[in-house]
Amino acid sequence: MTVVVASGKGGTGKTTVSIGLALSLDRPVDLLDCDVEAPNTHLLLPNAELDLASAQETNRCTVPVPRVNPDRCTGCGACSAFCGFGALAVVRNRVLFFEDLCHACGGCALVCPEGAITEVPHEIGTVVTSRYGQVHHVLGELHVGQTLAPPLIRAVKERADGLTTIIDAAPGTTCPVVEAARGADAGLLVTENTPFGLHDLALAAEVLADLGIPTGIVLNRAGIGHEDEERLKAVSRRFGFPIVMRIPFSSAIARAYAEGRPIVSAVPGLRTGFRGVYDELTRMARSASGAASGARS
Amino acid sequence: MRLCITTATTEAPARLDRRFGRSPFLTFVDTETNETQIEENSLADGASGVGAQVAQLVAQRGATAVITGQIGPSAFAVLDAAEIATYTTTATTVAEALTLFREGRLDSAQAPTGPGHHGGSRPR
Ligand code: SF4
Ligand code: SF4
Repeated sequence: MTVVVASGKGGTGKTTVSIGLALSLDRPVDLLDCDVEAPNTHLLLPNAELDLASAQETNRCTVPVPRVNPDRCTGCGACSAFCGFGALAVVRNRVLFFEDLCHACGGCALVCPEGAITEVPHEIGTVVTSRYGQVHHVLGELHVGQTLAPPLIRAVKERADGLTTIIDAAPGTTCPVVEAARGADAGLLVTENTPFGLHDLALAAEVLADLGIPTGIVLNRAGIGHEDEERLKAVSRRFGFPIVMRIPFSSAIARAYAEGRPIVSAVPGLRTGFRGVYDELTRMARSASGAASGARS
Repeated sequence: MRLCITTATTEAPARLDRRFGRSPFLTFVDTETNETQIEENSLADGASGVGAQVAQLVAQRGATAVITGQIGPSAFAVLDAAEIATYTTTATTVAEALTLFREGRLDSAQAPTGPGHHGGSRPR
């Protein structure tokens, strides 16, 4: 089963939950950090060896971008007219290419009547693989200035090789979140019970609901006061996303977090809690796929 | 010569739009005959690469100079490749900008004046 862990905004403890879940299951787990603009799972995993420098394997992730052969190019402008991203401009029979706007769709090479465009690999980021106990950790990191997250996210996801996969998605509702979540069997949305937290939770819930992913809500830092239980329940009801876990606000958790230790080793009982969440998600995924195949037949 | 001035509103006095790329109109002026054409900027609402695409359009229209408020790196690179001079001004109306240009009181920009809106793109 593949579980995507998402959140409406940053700082809700999404990564803490991803790691907590991965370390609680007594089995091999693929933990995929798909928050490629700001990956941080390696910082919260409990071993120094897992830092990026000493990773077992680093792979470059490239996308094909156009290169124009000026000897063949007639300056007809077909490539520029085709490109929906404004990455090509043709002036004075010369093609100017703006790499950071290119979505690597390959269209310009197809439409060029002179065969002047070939595709060359352009590195957008790296995929780093390492192992911690039963956790097979795969992390994607976009190079500074690169914006094309989806191909890198796909490269990270391709590395999952086991039966249980946990995906740490970027916070928010942008297209990298959709790319990370696509195809997941179940989702977890991590939130805090604050007005902003609940507002963003609803937005993120919409994304997962649109993708048809059965999802549970994890309330983090529960019990800090000023909470609007009714509003949280309203979001839960509106999307049919049950509240599957409440992680209390506790000084032991805060300390573990500050020290970069996983919270499951700091607070007894959390492991059992995460296992329960996983079982619940498994049930939800089963009944959702059952309902889907029922509807199809 | 044919001038292009980024334009915000068309009813007199037509106002200059400080942004190259997203201006709703482009005013083309032939400095010899004073003939003026106002074109709606169909690219203004594009999602990405607007500056470079508008610069390409300006080149296609045969302009040899642009007057605007500020210009990003992609647009500047395209205008530069097209050998179109870029003049920046703080004038608020098209007429005022034209007068300043005629009096030779506008500076031509040698570099983009802003970072652009997608992180500052330079062509290869
Ligand atoms: S590959 Fe696609 S996005 Fe990139 S320049 Fe060509 S047409 Fe544009
Ligand atoms: S389509 Fe091909 S020939 Fe035409 S301008 Fe682009 S690269 Fe040159």
